Amino acid sequence: MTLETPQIYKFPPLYTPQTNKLIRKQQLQTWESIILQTCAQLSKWCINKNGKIYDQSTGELLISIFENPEIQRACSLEFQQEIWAYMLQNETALQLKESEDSNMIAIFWESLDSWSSTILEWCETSGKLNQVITIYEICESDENTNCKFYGMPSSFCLLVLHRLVDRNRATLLKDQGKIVGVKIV
Amino acid sequence: MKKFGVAAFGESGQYDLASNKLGSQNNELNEQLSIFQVKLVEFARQHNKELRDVPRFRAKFMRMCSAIGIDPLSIFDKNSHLFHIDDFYYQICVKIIEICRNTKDVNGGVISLEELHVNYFKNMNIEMEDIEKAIIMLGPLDGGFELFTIRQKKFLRSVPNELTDDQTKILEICSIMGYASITLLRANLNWKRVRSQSVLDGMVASGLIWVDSQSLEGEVLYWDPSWIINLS
Repeated sequence: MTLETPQIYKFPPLYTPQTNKLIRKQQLQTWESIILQTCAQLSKWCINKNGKIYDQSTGELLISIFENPEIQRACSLEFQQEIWAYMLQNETALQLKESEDSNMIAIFWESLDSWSSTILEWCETSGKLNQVITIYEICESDENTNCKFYGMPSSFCLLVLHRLVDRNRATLLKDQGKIVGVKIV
Repeated sequence: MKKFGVAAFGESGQYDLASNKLGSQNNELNEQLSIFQVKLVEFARQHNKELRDVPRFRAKFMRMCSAIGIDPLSIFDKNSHLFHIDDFYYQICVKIIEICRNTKDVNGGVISLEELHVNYFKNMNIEMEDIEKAIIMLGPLDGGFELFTIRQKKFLRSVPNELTDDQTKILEICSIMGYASITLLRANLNWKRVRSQSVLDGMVASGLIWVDSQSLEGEVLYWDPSWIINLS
């Protein structure tokens, strides 16, 4: 699969923080949309803060978002942090707290609300309402290979399920402090 | 367990039925809408004369079009003089102003006609000449829209502050490689460092060019955003 990037991705100054305030804002917006687009194309829900995305099965580097070897430009660490801060503020990204690796960031190319609706719909159509299902069943079951959320990491899935809990549509079942299953009503 | 409310109506069977029905209704509506759109365009062709002569009728018609999702520009046919030919250009004017406003923060208010055409107008069957004509019609509005040419390439400036000669020269240099730098300006225009620096800084401040401090030669490069369209 070839990754599609917008034309501006090859524009060298995109990698240098712009001194003009208005342009800087525009630049951050551009980076936000590049990150969202890339993650959506690769179906990646959580990525490392350094912007490197690997193929899950082969371990091959798919793209390092903040570097463009073709034009020999890269974002500095400070600028990367500024981009993340912008996205965290916009709530298009979220720092994952509970994960063992604190460098992982959840990327919302679709909002949590939209993901929770998708999962709710899936439960309704596949008759999974009112029964206990595991997170594994939602994200990794072979039955769901066609679902949009197939392959979603459990940490991300929990965020979605918490959203359903807030809407009073789900109860999380814990075993020894760890969430093991969910009942969606 | 006894179920209450909607759940009492049993398992997914009924839901499937409902969602199927919703889906087919949706399709039907979409179909009807597209038929309606076609008819509307047809209607516009037939009643071209009335539409042209009665401004109130025309305004109402246009409002209806935008309400059901037809871009007014798409029902114009400049060859068969659907509506008054001027209206076609007025619509382009509106579009141009919109685009300039939206892209102002990226390019500091200077956009190449090529970019306008390729990115926004090409798929609507609008030619470069039409865009130029529309821009000329913007003139009397005194909104500061002005065409200028750099090395046979036409640009539209949508901010009222006029470009100085020095700024134009820098954009000229940018139109060759995409960027300008102090070295380039010295080599081509024989400018002193101070002069180049102050003009470049001014252009950065007004958003006309972007700074790039990662060139291999170690010198700061100043890029013209209208170059983005040439990157592939």
